[in-house]
This record gives sequence, structure tokens and C-alpha cells, in this order.
Amino acid sequence: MSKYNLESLKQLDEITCYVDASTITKYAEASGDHNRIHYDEKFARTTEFGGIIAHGMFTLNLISQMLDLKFGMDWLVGGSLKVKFKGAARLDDIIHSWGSLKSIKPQDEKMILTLDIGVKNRKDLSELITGTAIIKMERSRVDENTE
Amino acid sequence: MEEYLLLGDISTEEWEVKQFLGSVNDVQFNNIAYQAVPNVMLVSRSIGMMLSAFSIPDGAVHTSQEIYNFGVARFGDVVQCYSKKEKERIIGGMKLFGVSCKFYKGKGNILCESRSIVIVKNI
Repeated sequence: MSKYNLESLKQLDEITCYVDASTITKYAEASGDHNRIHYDEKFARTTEFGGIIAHGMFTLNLISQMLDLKFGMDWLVGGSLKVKFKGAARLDDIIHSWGSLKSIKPQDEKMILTLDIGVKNRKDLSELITGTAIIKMERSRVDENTE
Repeated sequence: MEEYLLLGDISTEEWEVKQFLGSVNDVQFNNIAYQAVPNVMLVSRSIGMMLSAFSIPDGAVHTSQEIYNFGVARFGDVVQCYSKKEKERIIGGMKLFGVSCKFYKGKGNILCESRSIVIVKNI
């Protein structure tokens, strides 16, 4: 298994996505989440959002993809996240994930990485999701001498 | 596990995983290379299953999400989703409750745990 360069862990590559009706429909089909707030404009207008919004888990998927891209199996097996939904993505929004290393600490044979993570709306840079992810990996996998 | 009820099975055939990855614009194909089912797909599917199982009304949204990964399912595995709905709280005309899920591949082989906080407004 390859080593992680400490410098490369400080900022994760963002994942960007354009939200349209087709995207939301595809996600509803794939997830089975057919809440009317995601497709029924008339109903959605009666809610606090005033219109159709993307699924929260759709938005959260950008973070999972970002962690998968960087950490692969270290994310898929042993990773965790805890987030709050602060806002919703709407039709024609462009949203992107972000992630930055908060701390890295050794614990026995493991290295524990704590990352600040989130999803922002590119239009106004409002936060849609904020939270924390934890990745555990073998201590030897992190090359700490690469500044 | 006694508090958790079987919410249902989640099928993870290759076409279903690809459908899911396509729906979230995941073009990395890491999961396809590993033949690994992303746990976030299991959690996403569980949300859809909860809507009917717990009679969650349209317009409900979830306000927080936790995911703990322990292992991965491979394409074609059948994953059992067990769920527990926590006690509802009414705050200022809103109903809040937590739903926890545990995902297993076979007996005792846990893949993932999740917890969502759901909010229903205008009750």
C-alpha cells in the first residue's frame, strides 16, 4: 500500500456537481427516497424551502466521494463522519465539497486523522453541510517527513 | 440488537451500484475497481425505506447524519438493514426524532452504522 504525503492531506480535492431536475430524479430512483419535496413543485412551494430541494444524502455523497478519492479503502473500512445539514441545494445550483486536515494524532499502531468537511453552494458560498470525518490508518502509512 | 427491527434487505447487484454511482455523478470508478459497495449507498437506500416504515411524511428533512464504516459489501451481496426509531420530541411545532441503522452482510458481519435526525415541521 502506498504512503500518504502529509502535505497532500492538508487540503482535499473538491468534488463539484450541478443540480438539476434530472439529477434529483435519478437519485430518487436509485435511493428509493420519493419525498415530494424533491420533485413536486406545488407541494415544495408550501414548505419552508419554497421550492424543490435536492436530497440531503445526495449532497452528502459529494463528501463521501471526496473521502473515497483521497483515502480509498481507509475511508470505506474504518472511516466515519458526523455532519449537520445547514441548508439545501436547489435546482440550478452548483455545489462542491471541501475538506481540510484538522489534526493528525498517533494512537497505538494507528494514525488518527480528523478532517473538517463540508459542502458549499458555489453561488453564494453558503454552507449546506458542515462536520467532521475521522480516518484511521496504519501509522506507517503516513510519511511525516515530507514537508 | 433486540431494539432494532429488520427494515429490509438491500440488493447490491452491479447494475444497482452503477445506477447509484451514476445518480450521484460519481465518475471515479474506485468502487467499481474494488467491486465495493459504498456504505453511503446503503445509508441512502435506508432513508428511502424509512419513509414508509416509519410513516415519515412528505416535507420531512433530516438535519444531521452520522456514518461509521466497518466493512464493505461486494457487488451481489444482500445487505440486511436493521433500524431503530428513537423517541419523538415536539419542539415549537416541530417533531424531531433520531433513526439509527445497522447494516449487516450475513450474521454478525457488520458493515456500517448510521444515525439520522429527522425533523417534521408544521405538525
